[in-house]
Order: sequence, then C-alpha cells, then structure tokens
Amino acid sequence: MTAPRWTTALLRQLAAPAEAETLVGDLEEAHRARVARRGVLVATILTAFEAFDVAFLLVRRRVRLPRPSVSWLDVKLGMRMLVIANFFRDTVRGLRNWRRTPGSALLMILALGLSGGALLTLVTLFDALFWRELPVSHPEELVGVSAIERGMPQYETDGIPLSLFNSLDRAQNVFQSFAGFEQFQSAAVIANSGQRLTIEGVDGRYFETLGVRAALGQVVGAREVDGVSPVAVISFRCWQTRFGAARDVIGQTLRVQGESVTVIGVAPRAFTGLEVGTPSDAWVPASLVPRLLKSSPGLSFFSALVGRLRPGASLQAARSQLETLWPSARQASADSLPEARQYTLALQPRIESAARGFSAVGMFYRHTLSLLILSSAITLVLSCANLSGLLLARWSTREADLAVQAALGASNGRLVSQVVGESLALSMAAVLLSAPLALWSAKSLTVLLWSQPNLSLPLDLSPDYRVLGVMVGLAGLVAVCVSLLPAARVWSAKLRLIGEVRGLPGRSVTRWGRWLVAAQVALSVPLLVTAWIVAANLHRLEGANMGFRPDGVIVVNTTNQSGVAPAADPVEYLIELATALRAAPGIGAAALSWSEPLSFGADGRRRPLTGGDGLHGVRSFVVKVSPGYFETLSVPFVAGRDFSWTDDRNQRDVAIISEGVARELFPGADALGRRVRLGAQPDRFLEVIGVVADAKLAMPQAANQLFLFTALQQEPPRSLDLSSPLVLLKSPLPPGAIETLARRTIVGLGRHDVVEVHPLEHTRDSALLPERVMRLGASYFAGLTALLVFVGLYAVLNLSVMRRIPEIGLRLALGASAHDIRVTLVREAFSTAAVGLILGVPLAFASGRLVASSLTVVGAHDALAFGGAIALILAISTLSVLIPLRRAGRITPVEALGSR
Amino acid sequence: VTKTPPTATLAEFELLVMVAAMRLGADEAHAVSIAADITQRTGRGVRRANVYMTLQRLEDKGLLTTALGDSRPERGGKPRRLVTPTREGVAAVRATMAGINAMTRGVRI
Repeated sequence: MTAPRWTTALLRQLAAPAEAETLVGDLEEAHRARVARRGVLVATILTAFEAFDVAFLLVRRRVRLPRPSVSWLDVKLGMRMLVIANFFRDTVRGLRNWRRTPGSALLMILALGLSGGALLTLVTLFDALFWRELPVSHPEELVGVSAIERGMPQYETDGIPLSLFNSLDRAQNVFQSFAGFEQFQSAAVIANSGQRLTIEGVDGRYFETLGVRAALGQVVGAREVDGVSPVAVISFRCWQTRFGAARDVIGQTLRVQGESVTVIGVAPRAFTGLEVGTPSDAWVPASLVPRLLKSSPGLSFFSALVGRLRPGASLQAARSQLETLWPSARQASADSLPEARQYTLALQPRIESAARGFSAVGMFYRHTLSLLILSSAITLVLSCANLSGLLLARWSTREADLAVQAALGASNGRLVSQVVGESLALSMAAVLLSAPLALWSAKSLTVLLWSQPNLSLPLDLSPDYRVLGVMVGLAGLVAVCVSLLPAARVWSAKLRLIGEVRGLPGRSVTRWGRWLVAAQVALSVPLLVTAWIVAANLHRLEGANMGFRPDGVIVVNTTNQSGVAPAADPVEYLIELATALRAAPGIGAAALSWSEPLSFGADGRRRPLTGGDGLHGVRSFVVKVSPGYFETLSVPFVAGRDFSWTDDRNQRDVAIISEGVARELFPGADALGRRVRLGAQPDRFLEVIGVVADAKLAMPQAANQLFLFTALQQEPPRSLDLSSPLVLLKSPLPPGAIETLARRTIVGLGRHDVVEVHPLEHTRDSALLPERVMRLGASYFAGLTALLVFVGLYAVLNLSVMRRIPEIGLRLALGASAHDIRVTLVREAFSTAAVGLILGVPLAFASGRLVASSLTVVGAHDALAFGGAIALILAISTLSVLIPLRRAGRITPVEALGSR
Repeated sequence: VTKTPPTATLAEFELLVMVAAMRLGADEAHAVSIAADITQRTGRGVRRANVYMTLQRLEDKGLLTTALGDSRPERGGKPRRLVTPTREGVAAVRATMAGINAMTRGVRI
C-alpha cells in the first residue's frame, strides 16, 4: 500500500532533487507502517497531514536559509505561502468561532446557500444553453450561417433554400468544408411502438465539417445523400433507450412517416446535433427529407449552414465574404424558386461563430432566464447586506479582544484577515451547500422546461470549469462583500485605546445596521412587485378567454401505415375517417388538421395576405383544416359558414378568416364573398366563405392573432395521401377511453397508425411554461427576500435593545413608562422600513417596466402589486419588532443600571 | 594563549535525536526510525518535520553526518538517509548529560 500519489508529488515539487528521494522514501515507509497498525483510511489521513507538515518545513527552510541558491522568487513564494498559511489559520479559527453560535451560523449559511444556489442553478442552465462548446473537434473553427426574414422573429423563418446554399458554396473560399442541416420533428415507429423523434436532414459534408465520427458503423456521407438512400445515423441516446443498446443495431430499420429507414451508424455519446436544447435522435440524408415530409423536392430548406474555416481564415473574413456573396446568391435562388420567390428575397444572412451551436430553444427562454438571473443576483446582494449587518454586530462585541491583539502588535492586516477569514469560512460552507442544490434544481428545471420527465436531459448540465469558476468566484466575492463593513470597523477599532473599548455594540453599529436594512427593504420592493406582476399575469392568462375552449379536446397524432398503396381518392378516405370518428360513441365533434393549435408547426408561421383589391396587406397564420374544426374547438362564427366536404378541388378555393383579418383587409366592408391573395406559396386566390371570432390559437400570450383557414380537402391529392392527419376530438370521456376508441377507429380503417394521444390542455400548459417558470422563480426570490428582510430587521432591532439596556433602565428609573419605550422601538422599526420603501418604490417602477415588457396581460404599474408589496413589508416590520419589544418590556431599572 | 573551543551542548529534542541515533546504530538510524524510537520510549508524539529540522541543525553544527543507504522495497525502492553521530556529537551528548546529571544531583525529583 503506497502513500497517496499527490503527497509524494508535493514533496518532490518542494524538495531539492537530492533530498526528494529520501523524503519520499520516508513518507512511504511511515505510511506502510501506519497502514499495518491503523488501517488504510486513518493512515492516508495521517500521511496527508504529515506531507503538509514536511512541505511547510521545506518552504520555511527555503525562506530562512540565505543560501546563494535561494533566489528572490523563492523568498516571494515563501512569503506568499506564509500569508496563505496565516489566512488558512484565520479561516479555521472562523469556523471554530461559528461553532459556538450554530444557530446564527446555520441561518446565515442557509440564506447565502439559498440565494447563491438559485444563482448557480440559473448560471448552470445559461452555461448549458449558451456558453458550452460543441463536443466536436476544434469547435472554434466553426461558423454558422442562418437567415432571418426581414421584420420577422428568427424562429419564424423557414430557413435557407438549398439552391441558395449551393450558390454560396460554389462561390466561397473561406471554408474548407461547408454543409447544411434541417431539423424537424417526426412520428416514427421503432419495433412496433410509436415515438416522436427529432431528426436532422443533413448534407453530405455535415459530419466531415464537424469532424464527428460514428461510435458504431458509419456516418451519412455524400454517397448516401446523392443516392437518396433511406438510411439514418441514430444518436447514442436513441441507441441506448430505443434500441436497448443492441450491438447488432446496424442494419435494423425504423419507420419514419411510413418510410422504412435503415440504421447505418450510431453517433458518439456527447454529440446530439447542432441545435442546443433540442437534441437530435437521428440524422438522415437531406435529399431524403422531402420524401419523408411529403414536400416538393424543389422546395428544400436548411435550418442553418455550418462551415469550417480554412487555416488562417477568420470569422470576420467569412462574414465579409458571405455578406458580399449573399445578394447575388439570393437573387439566383429566388429566380429558380418561383414558389418561394418573395420569401427568399426577404432573407438576410446572420453569420456568427457556431462553436456553441445554434439554440432556438435558448432564444425562446433567454429573456426569462436573464430576468431570473437578475432577480437572483439582487437576492444575493440582499443576503450579503443582511450578513454584513449581522457580522458587523458580531465583531463589534469583540472589540475588546481585537484591541488587546492590536496592543500586542497585531497589524491591521492581520486583524482584517481574521474578519475576511471568518466570512470566507461562512461563504465556502454556503457554496458547498448550494452546489448540489443547484445541480438538482437545474435538472428539475430542465425537466420542467422541456417537459420530458421520462427521457434523459436534453442539456449537458455536468458542471464545467465555467460553472466551477463562477462558484469559486461567488464564494470569494461574497466573502469580500460581506466583510467590507466589519473589516472597515475593525480597522478603525485598532486605532482606539483599549480603555475606550466597550463590550457592547456602539451607536454607529446600529446606525450602519439600520442603513443596511433600509437598503435590503429597498431592494426587496422591486422583487416583491415583480413576483406579484408575474403571478398576476399568469393567473389572468390561465383564466383568460382564449376565444376557444381547449378543455375536453383530445389531440391524436397519426402516422401512415407501412406498405399501404396510395388511396384512389384521398378526400374520400378523409371523409370516411372523419365520419367514423364522429359516429363513435361519446365523441361530440371531430376534425382533421395538419398542425396542432397552440404549438409552432410548419403551418403555424405567418404568411403575407392581401385583399383581392391589393390595397391592404397583413401577415397571418395559415392553417389547413377540415370541416368541423371550429365546432370541435368551440370557435363561434361571426358570419358565413363552415367548410363542407363538397368544397373540394373541383370547386373554387375557399377560406375562412378571423375577425381581425377581416378588419384589416376589408375595413368597414363585408368580407364574405371577397377574394384574398395568399403569398409566399404559389400565389393562390381564395374566396372568403366565413368569418370566425378572434381566438388565440397560435399561442396563449399574444393578442391580435390573425388567422386564415384553408380547406384541407383542397390540398393536392398527393399531399393528402402522403401526410398523416392530426385528429382533434371533442368528448366528455376521459383521455384513456378516447385513446382506445380513436386507436380502434383509425387503425381499423387500415391507412394510419396512432402515434400518441394527449389532451389539448397539456399543449396549453407547455405554451405557458416560460410564464410558469418566471412565476416559480419570482415567488422563490420574493419569499427569500421577505425572510431576509425579516431577519435583518429583527437583528438590528434586537441589537438596538441590547445596546440601550442602560439607557432604557435610566429612562424607566426617571419615570418613563414601558409604553414610551415600546413607542421608541416601533418608531425605529417603521422609520427604517419607510426609508427602504421610499428608496425601493422607484426601483420597483423600473423593474416593473422591465418585466412588463415581456408580459402581455398585466401592465407595469399594477397598483395592487405596489400595495401588496408595501403591506407585506409593513407586516414584516411589525413581526420583526415583536420579540425585541418583549425583551425591552422585561428590562427593570435595577438590573439595567446594575449591568452598567 | 590558545583557547580551546567549548564543547557544544544540546537542546532537549536534539539530545533525544542524538541518543536515538546512537542507539539505532549507523545501519538503522534514519528519520523514520529515530522518530519511532523516541515515540516508543518517551510516549510522546513526534512530528517527522521536527526530526528533519533537528537533523539538519545538528549536521550544520558538525555533530552528525548523513549518507545515503540502500534502496528498500518497503520504501518504494527509495534509499534511506542514514545518520552517524560524529566524535563531536558524541562529546556533545556526554557534555549535555553531564550537565543534567550535575544539576539534578541531590535534587529530589
């Protein structure tokens, strides 16, 4: 049994080479003897201590012996080691001091741990989403190219047309390799069970560009893409969870949208694609995607492009070259794509480093996360102010002790080092407590945000050097912040004579303490107001009239059965399906669509619409629906009629518009019978046959959502045949019963399988997740803040009573009543709170405005929120004054004057 | 007049180290065995760092010499630094012991 390797390494590092071998030998020999006598564990601990002991000796020897070989560097190193050793001793002494008052130590560690833990949680999430580099070779060489449609949010962009990518690729010379990918969700069947998979359609050079090799089998290359091979590389996670980590997975098949796809490889464990937060389950050749998505092969789009810089090329060079090439490439692409001409011409490039991948999910949550980080940072500052006050009081009672140390020759630095050491001990304990808490809550929050409790996490949350750095930095920063005031006081205490030192806190301590508490109150007001606004917003969103009723609506995702020949008349089949579902017992209404209400689907993006006269234009969501859609979702008609199955391709193209669209396109006129031009697709003219009331079908938050509905049965027969419809059922039956019913009916018709069934209310809940997370975070910080303010105010008042015992005694002896004493204390409590409120209310206005900018329902200056926050602070002040009041009430003149 | 240099005397821990080195002999006396011997006989815990420091001091005063011994398997194949008291060292032990004996003679302890 040998000594721990680091102990011998330590000695080798510090000892002269000639001496090192014998010292290490001694350590080994002593360790062996100890192991025989006392067991491995005790021996290891003792050997570690001994190694430190000898190491200190070696350092001290190097410092003290003025041998010619000793350089200034050695001396400086030695001095530094001595300072560190002293500081270490102070920290240990600090820990020992805290052991004497475990209650207050625990309270402080908890306060710091809870606020620091929350900050660490958010930093961990932020790190995983935005800071972590992709697990590919030399990620810093990667450049991402994405496109934004002029005037549109990025997540509403369809992507970059394949022809645009090809033009860019031919003309560029900054990348050694350039590739594109398109991520999409799809229903799939693996070993007879339905799944939803996230799939990336990739270019032939995708894996080569990223430098990713298969963990098993091979990757998708140019041969597979050119040959449109129905093959897939599956992710490591998909291999583990869906194929049971079978070694013979290569050659097995899965069915995607009815198409049989063969597995040719497994990606490495860490690699989950370029979209951070949306890990891919499989990669297929991009050329296969139109077949899987039943779209026109000419209309292929990449979500984004990624290139690897040539040696010597920079991001700046890539940016300037691609921006120069973009307009001509865009024009050529638009000319070759008449169907998407208008869309393509509106595209602007966005070129940035892809070392950290792309994160659409991150963009979606960025605002929420940033606001929460801000709140948690404020809470942490608040905890620091709180602890600073408590430490100030603590150190002021030890002034006599400090003055003696100073008189015996301790320098100011040594005295302050004690204060900082004690704070450091405290903050280290808090960080140690908060680290596991943070990891756990980051995991829970991720599960909540992605609502995937049964799958492994979509993010890599393992702590990396950045999170560890933040942790250590946080501990140091907190220690310094917390000890600033007490250290300043200790510094000035040294200057005083011993005779002047009192055993009780001075007046200035309580004065400083009161200012600190007032600052805490001031900071807590914005947090409380924010929490109120966020909670009120969610409450109103949940209770708001959305213009339709999601309750009782069940969503059924289907996929094509394999090996089924195309239907002779797809519309006939859809009519049969809708009729069969409607006739099933317990089903009130049934409808078919291609996209789910309240979630972003391919059809959920906004398209340009113009009135037939060409005078007015709007962008509106375009949704393809079957007859019965509005009845199923309980959306009332304002005018006109619903689609009927006879509105097929033999008739004129018809549309139903929402009231908002009617108002915008045909102001002051009747919309029925008018024509609407739908752009971006091959221009299509539709006749308005109905107007429905406005409903928030796209998302629960935004107001003024404009919709144009087209008839599903008027789509090209090939699209109808290849696409799997989404079935919406309205029924009072429980979801489980409907699932059985729907499965039997749909599968019985012999064309589709059921992949998954869920209530529409679940979709609404997921859509409200950012608000829920905001409420969770804001309430947590508000609660913590209230607790901190209470503790701070209580501590200051208590100290004030202690300090004034002689004064109170004297006043009582001179005839003051207990009531007078109480009034003084209450006045002190409320004046402190009032100062805090006066400072805090303007801050709350500012923070309210910041938060309200991302909210939809509640304004920034909600009177109730301000009233509630002020009332809560006053209630806390009342509570915190109760115990000090009792203590003051028990003081008798004799005792008080006696103690003097 | 030539002045003979006074015989060195030893501090208490130096005395213990010197005596332990003398007892263990030139083949066995090294830092680990010296520390173990002192602990075993006096019952007090000995930090090896102190033994190193004392050996260094005694060597600087010329009271003992050190030399590398054989490599041993129980030491991970590392050699021992063996300690041998010099004539001056033995004289110093004698002088210190004589001083102690002279001082304690007749005193009931």
